[in-house]
Amino acid sequence: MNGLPVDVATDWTRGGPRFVLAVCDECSNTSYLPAEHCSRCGARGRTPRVAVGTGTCVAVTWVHVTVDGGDPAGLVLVELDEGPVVMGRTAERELRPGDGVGVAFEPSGAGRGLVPVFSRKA
Amino acid sequence: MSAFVTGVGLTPFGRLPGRDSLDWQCAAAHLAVDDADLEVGEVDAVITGYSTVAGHLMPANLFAERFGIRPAVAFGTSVGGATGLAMVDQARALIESGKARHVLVVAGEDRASGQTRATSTKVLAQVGHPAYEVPLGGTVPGYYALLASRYLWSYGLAEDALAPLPVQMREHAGRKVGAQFQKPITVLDVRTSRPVAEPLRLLDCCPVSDGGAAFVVSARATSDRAVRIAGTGQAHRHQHLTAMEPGNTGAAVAAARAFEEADLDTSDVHVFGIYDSFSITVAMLVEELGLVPPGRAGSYARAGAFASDGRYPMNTHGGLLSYGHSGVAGGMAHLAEVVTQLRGERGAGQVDHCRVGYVHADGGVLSAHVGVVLVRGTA
Repeated sequence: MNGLPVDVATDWTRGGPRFVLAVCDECSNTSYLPAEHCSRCGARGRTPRVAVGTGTCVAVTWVHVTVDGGDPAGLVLVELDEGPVVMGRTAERELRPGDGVGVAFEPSGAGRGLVPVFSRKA
Repeated sequence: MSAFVTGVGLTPFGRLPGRDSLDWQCAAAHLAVDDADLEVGEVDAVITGYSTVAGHLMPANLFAERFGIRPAVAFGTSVGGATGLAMVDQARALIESGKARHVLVVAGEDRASGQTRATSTKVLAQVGHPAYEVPLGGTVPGYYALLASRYLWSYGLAEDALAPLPVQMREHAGRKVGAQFQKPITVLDVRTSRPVAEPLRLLDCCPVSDGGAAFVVSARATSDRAVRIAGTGQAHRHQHLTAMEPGNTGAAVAAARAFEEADLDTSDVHVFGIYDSFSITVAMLVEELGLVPPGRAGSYARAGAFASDGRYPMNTHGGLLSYGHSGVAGGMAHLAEVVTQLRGERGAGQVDHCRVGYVHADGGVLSAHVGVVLVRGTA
């Protein structure tokens, strides 16, 4: 790891409009959630990589019983073109698993911060 | 040295106001100690599951003082829905190491009547990643709905493909005293119930319940009703849905470890207890465990594979989906039921000729897995 944190480029959870992935220096496994070691090979050395932000939608849900009691919320899992799966929101009722999607980072609506919102590619 | 389940205690589950978490734990513990035919003073270790309603730094000490015992070993455990079976695994380790002779494993809470539904939803949603998932507005049903969406798409299935699973659980519950829901349901009922997180509908989801469960795990059989813990296995491969590896959640790894210890395999098992927080949960588990082919859990359920007289009798108490889900105790009810089956004491719901049982629980979003192989007999 050489003292280099994987989130050296500020990602969306810290206000930057991007997904930041970590590529293992030993086995090239690419991962999304912060971790001290590669879950595949156990190595510590990782290099951050900014994702392009496109991929394939692999799951969609509309959450009706929401934490804040609000309107149904669209949630998706997207397999990024770089490999890892990320979670995001969607506003598109027509979005289906298998669709190609792209991300935009939008204000969360709940105070500060951005959230990834996916739409079908034009 | 072998460890035996010598006592089980399972209270009714449901919306049953009037008892708090410790009341439910004590009610279940009394049942288990009596069932083991022990004096409470013979219990020398206590392992306790968390309560979401009454969180505490020292749940086992809290319980022991209230129950009125002074064990030599006491600690709490927290691995979500897998907690109950993880406690059994730890109880077995205490027995086999000689640290304890009779371990009381206990959990219970007033999850339905002790907090609002909104609070319950919010507390449980915290199994999501605090930075990468929770801010998106997910809930536990939402996370499992994403698994269901991916599953249905991957196998080209219609939205009603999972519905036969809750229908089967409800049929079982109809023959189990103490189950929260007993009125028969159909596939159409499941698909027309209100959406909770599409594609999951209300009847795809377990309820939130009050109730308790307890076991006594002992170094010796206290009667000929004891059941031997022949193998245990765990796997912990991720916490958050985003980090999950589809098809390799840890379920098969945990089961393989348990069956290897028991020197048995799934084809030897006569009765199953498989965690069923949602229709999709039990579908993914029975498929990863290799009981049915990928994508076929619903069609197997529709054909009766999980009925009492089917190929894989499963959750004959009704499971979380219909007996109910009182937190840690919910995942313990499956083991209580399998022990009762192996003892031949299940009455109207008895599975014929059952000698070997397998119980599997998961916590989080298929995150923590524990499997337990149980064998009838005191040898």
